[in-house]
Amino acid sequence: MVKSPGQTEGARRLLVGSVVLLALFAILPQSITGWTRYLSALPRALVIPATAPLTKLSSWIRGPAHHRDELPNTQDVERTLSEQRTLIAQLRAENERLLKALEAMKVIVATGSSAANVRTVVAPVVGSFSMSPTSTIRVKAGSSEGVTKGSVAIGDLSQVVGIVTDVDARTCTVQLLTSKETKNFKAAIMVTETEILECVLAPTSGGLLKGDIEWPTDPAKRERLIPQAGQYVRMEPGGIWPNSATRLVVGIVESIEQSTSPTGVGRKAVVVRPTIDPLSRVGEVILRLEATPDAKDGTP
Amino acid sequence: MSWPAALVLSWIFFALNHGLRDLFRIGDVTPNLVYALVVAIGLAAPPSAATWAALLLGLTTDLLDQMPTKAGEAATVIGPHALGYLASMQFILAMRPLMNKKNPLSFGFLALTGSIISGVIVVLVFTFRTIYNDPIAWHAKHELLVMLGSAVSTGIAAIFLSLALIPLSGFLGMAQGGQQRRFGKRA
Repeated sequence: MVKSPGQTEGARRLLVGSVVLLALFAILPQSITGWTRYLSALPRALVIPATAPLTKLSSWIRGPAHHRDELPNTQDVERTLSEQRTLIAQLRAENERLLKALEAMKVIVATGSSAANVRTVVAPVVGSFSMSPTSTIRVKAGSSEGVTKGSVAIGDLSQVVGIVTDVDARTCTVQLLTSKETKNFKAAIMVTETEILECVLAPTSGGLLKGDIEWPTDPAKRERLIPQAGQYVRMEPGGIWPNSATRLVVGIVESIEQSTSPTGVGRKAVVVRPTIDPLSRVGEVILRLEATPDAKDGTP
Repeated sequence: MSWPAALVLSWIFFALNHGLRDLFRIGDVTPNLVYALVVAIGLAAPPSAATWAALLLGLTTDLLDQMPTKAGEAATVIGPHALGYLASMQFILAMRPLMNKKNPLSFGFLALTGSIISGVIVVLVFTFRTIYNDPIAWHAKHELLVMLGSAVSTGIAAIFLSLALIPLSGFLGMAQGGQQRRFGKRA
């Protein structure tokens, strides 16, 4: 160092000591000197307020284009935020749907519907004919995929969509569950997870199903089992429906009404709405194909 | 040298340096306006006062310019700029008998060369710290290039700032007559 003529020996020692101390601070690890960040508070408090007008001045001179490169536009941030919120909402909805489907599958397993011999084919719906006398949908899966007459088509939450009535090599026609052509079928109102009330359902207007409730003969059971709106209604074996349709969802109880059928005077009837409403709007179906179809020639 | 006046001027130059940094920024390169003040002090103040001034200005730079860590936090490292300014001040003090103190180009030349000396020391210190896996994010090659660019821009800025700093020598109490009287008594 250049020695000043006015520099005392004490001042020189102080300077050398300061240099040694600074050199030590400069090379010591951050884990040891980390506390020094608190020392910066004072100079920052003194200098930063004075920089604010100059920062504004430089921003004004350089213009917004300069800052556009560094800082994201507020509108872009808001748009991204909105998109992320939408994505979260969609994911939550999908999560809820999958949870419901899982619950539905658990009930199917618990109530003994075997899916051991069932193969599934996911296929898109390529046409809907809900205005025709027989409400049907056209599905892009045919005999080449193993689809046969009587195969059951289901949608979300194991909801029965309909039954295959016509098949060609590449496509098949599914008659909807709520079609007027669908014959009466047995169903079970799931009063609890294991206890059911049987009923015979038939399509009515408005895409609903309606039928008389068959009350159990046991008076105690009759007292205990009370059908209510919101309970699931599932398919019972029998009729034209194959075994693979057993315990699949027919819909949810919409209301309990007085029966109007000639044979059901004084009895109660259940009105059921499919979980997919209307069924003709389904975009994709799962075709349940049995290894040994029991309803090859079945027509509803 | 009048230390209160130097303190006020330092405050103004630090504010200018931080406030106008974005205005003169080209990529990562920004001029160091405070270094023009270091040159002004180095050209006019007594060696002892100039040395201490360089040390304190460097220390303040270390405290104000926080370094980013690999974790994205800010860290304060005391020493690199203080040592860099001190070393470059020795160069300025050694060179000043050869310089025309009233010529802005002298300011520019000393600011350029002094900034390079100071910058090399800063780069060396931070590169040394990488040996023991320092958390501070540091890319020596990139920082060396930025430092060279910064030195050039500091030199250019010092030429213009000298137009204000040369007349301010009197305000700093660095006029030759007063300077000799004040420090002469202590010898």
